[in-house]
Amino acid sequence: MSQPTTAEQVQSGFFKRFRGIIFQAFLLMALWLILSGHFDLEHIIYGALSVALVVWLNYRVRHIPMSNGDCLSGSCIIVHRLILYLFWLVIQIVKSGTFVAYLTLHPRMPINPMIVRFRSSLPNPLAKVILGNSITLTPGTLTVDIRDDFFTVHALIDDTEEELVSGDMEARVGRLYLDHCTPEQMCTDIAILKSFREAKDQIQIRERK
Amino acid sequence: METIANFFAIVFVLLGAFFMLVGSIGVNRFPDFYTRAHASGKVDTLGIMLFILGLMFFEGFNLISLKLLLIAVFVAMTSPVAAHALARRALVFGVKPWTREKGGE
Repeated sequence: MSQPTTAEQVQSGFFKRFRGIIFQAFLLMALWLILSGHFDLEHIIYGALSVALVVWLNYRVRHIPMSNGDCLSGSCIIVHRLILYLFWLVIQIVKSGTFVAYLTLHPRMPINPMIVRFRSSLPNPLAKVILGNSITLTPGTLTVDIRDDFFTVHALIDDTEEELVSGDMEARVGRLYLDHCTPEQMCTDIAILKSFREAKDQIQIRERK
Repeated sequence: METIANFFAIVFVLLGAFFMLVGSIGVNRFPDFYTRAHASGKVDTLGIMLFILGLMFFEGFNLISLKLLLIAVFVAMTSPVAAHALARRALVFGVKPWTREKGGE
């Protein structure tokens, strides 16, 4: 299997190197303006100074390696895909809320909970966080654990579990960082954990390491 | 124009209140901890977001509605994390998930 090309290999030069910082500074400045509500020069200068301080601190934080050796830096999100993804996510939030509300109000409550585990090949920790959050927000699934590449997910009924392991959402998250990826590539080693003991042991073994 | 905005505000706030109510009913009706986390984590998120949307319609487009939008974004980011943290600790400390075969064991 060939390694998928990442977005950062396509871009180059100054913009690639400082893109994250510019984006971050822009967002922080917008946050400052919204929260302060004053648009005169004095407040904007104070804001710019604070933004510069925060960006400087964050720049150093992004280069500290985490427990498994990865850094948060060195990954470039594709912004226009992120905006489309957020729209999709809002629709999913509405769908999941109404779906669980329907299950709640259904007289016989047709649920069949199960715990599913799968391996995802997302490229960096931030993508895993986005996927974990998205799984919880999409209909009928709840992320229980993320460790290394393995996701443990609690699903309410069979349909939601099938939708989850089809890898559609993993591919959507993957496309935020990679140029091309397919659902089959993203979601492998699917297992339904029959016994509770199995699920619990897996977390505890990995916690002791 | 004012009337239409107020109409949308009322509709969305009522919808939000409905979903918050259903979320609370779900917390009581579902059989075990994990399914309850589903109810509180999803239905309540939708309820709060509809509520905030209604308030934004009521306020019109100004600085306050932008701040309300920030609250909505914050809720959408933190609510799944809270549900995840609760469910994970529950699994580690040995809360058994309810399944259809075993019944309400």
